Amino acid sequence: MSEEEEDENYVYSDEDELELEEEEEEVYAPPSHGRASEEGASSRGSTESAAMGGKRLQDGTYTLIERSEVEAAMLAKAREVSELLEVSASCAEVLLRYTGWSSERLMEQFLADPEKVSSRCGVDKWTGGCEGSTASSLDSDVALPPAPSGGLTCRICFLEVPASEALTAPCGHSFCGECYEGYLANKIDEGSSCVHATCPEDKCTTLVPPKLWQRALSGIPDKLAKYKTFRIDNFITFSKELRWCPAPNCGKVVRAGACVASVKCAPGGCGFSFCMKCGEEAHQPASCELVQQWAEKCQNESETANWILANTKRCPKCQTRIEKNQGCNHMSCSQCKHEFCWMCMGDWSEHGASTGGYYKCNKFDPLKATDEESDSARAKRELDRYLHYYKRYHGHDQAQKFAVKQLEATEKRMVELQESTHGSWIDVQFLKTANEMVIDCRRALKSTYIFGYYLDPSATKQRELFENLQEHLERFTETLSEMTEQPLETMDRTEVVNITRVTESFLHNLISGAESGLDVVPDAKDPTTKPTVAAS
Amino acid sequence: MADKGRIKKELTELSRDTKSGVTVEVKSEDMHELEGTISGPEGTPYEGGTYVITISIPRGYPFEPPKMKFLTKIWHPNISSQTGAICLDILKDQWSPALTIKTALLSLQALLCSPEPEDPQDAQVATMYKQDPAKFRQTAKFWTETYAQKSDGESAAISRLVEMGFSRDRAVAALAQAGGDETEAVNKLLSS
Ligand SMILES: [Zn+2]
Ligand SMILES: [Zn+2]
Ligand SMILES: [Zn+2]
Ligand SMILES: [Zn+2]
Ligand SMILES: [Zn+2]
Ligand SMILES: [Zn+2]
Repeated sequence: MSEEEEDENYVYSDEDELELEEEEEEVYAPPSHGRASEEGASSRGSTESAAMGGKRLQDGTYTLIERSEVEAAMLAKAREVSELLEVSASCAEVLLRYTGWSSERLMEQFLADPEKVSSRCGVDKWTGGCEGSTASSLDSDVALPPAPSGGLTCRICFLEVPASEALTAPCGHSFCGECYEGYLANKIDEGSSCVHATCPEDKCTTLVPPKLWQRALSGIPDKLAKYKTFRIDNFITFSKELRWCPAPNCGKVVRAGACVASVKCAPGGCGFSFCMKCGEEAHQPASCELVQQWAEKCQNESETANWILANTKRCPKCQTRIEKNQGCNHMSCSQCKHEFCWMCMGDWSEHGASTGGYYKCNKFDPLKATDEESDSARAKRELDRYLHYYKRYHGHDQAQKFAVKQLEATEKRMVELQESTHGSWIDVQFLKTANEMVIDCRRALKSTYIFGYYLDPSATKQRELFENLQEHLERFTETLSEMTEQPLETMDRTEVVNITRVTESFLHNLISGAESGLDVVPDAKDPTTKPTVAAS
Repeated sequence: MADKGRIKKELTELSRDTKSGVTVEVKSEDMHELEGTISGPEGTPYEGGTYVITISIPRGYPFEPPKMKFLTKIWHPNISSQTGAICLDILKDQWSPALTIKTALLSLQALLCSPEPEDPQDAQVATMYKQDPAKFRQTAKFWTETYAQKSDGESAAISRLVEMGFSRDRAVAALAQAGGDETEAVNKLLSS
């Protein structure tokens, strides 16, 4: 592929940008500010809302974008910065990578010390200003110096090469084309870090510009394409407003404006709802931090194991597992009737007056015992509390999975209903809307148990309010869920539509209620994870 | 596809060089296993020693660095006293295809001149280097004499310990641990 041909793919003019704005159709409001649905498109605001590139999406809206659009957005952002800093767009791209695609931080750091930033990024020897990049592509706007006219001895293969077969980076170091190809191909194989590849010369920090990548890898276009992919991936990974859909095998990219908490990979995507901030499944009303804490807590199953270890022991005689549920240390095995001391596991018959009396094992430090006893009691209480929340969290999680599976059946039922009522496709949409509402509610309810678990126990008022909202949403979700499973003959469309609407408003009430300030305490020291020895 | 042509050229160039104090020998037919030697630089505790380094050429050479390891035991903060593994940037991420086996060996020689205890490979050695430079020098020198010199005459200390009835291996190990201090070595042997 010739360089000119390749360049064609990167042409990006002001016209394109306008076109993109026009094409932008599907901008959605996130569930927290109104459900993502077809109606959501109407929330699209002025021209600025949908503009790609450096311009912002309207706050609170988001959209699915194609890979090609991502590339255009990256280019637009680079060009914008290139004009501000009066550097080539390729150079701007490198500089933006340095600050994780934050133009603000780049401006701050670059304006403070342009030389330092440029040399740290390996672009201090790059020449070519912003003029070059606006007219042509991003990938050919950095000038490459000519190789020594008399040819050279390549410092990699040690062979003599004519100038026409050599490639020279902006630093002036030349190598033969074949070695350059091998060098960059090897960098590609090392993975995403290839975007930071420098000139092959020892200790040279000059970054290999895109134009040189193109020349060197023109014979292996699939490697060259990978280089481009890595650059775009870097842009997606580090741009705050972009995120890969985390659902397995989806690969769609979501672009969101400011204040978007969670987004749905739709339409045209897989339908998965996820958090724009942490990339996990959408989790309102719980915060990203609480969700992470909760996940760690749940993963740590040893917590339960610890409790069992602290509270159950084996009979020293027959090894039957014994759970202690009273405060008394005088144990009697239910299997073999062996009597022993819970504290020291010694024979109870040895615990006579000489050892301090039946109920005061002398091998036991009373001071420590009080501590340990209360620890264990606290551990038990804490575990019960955790299990209360976990059971309900888990219940909604299972129900959500069920509702997701139910979607398939719902599609079939929609066809059935349409045929039997001779209605239109729009007329049967309510079934799907209801089913999707159940999924959204289950997901949110799941998170309410994370939220509730970490809610400050002393904030009685807030807890009451929250639990009230939770209870309502739970009740309506169950009702709606039941309705969506009804046989079609007995289904009342109006009722389903109404209940869906009411449920939606309860969902929003709960999320905005929780967001408008219910105090939450972080997971401080967890008493249940502490190994405890004594009984309660 | 390691470039055989380039390795051959490097070897020819190396065989002509008699001044730099480094040599390389081919150990396998495909020229992927080599063995290099460097001499201990003057004015260092390694002076007088000859260090054998195993060199393994990866498939991606010269775009990937050669793998090098000290075969000769050495007491140095950036080289493992146990395995001979080397901590040197140009053998890792700072490798450039414009570097060669020879330049890498010369860099190792330079490393012997100027250890970098802030980036240690062997924590025990690095700690001694920083906290007790005299003992470090003494130990490094003893290791040079014991492991890196042609044994045309047993060190007097080893002979005396062997005469006392300790096995040669144990005597060498104890002396190496004690940095050549004979009394300390005897105490070690007696208490173990
Ligand atoms: Zn070459
Ligand atoms: Zn260079
Ligand atoms: Zn998706
Ligand atoms: Zn999150
Ligand atoms: Zn028993
Ligand atoms: Zn007892």
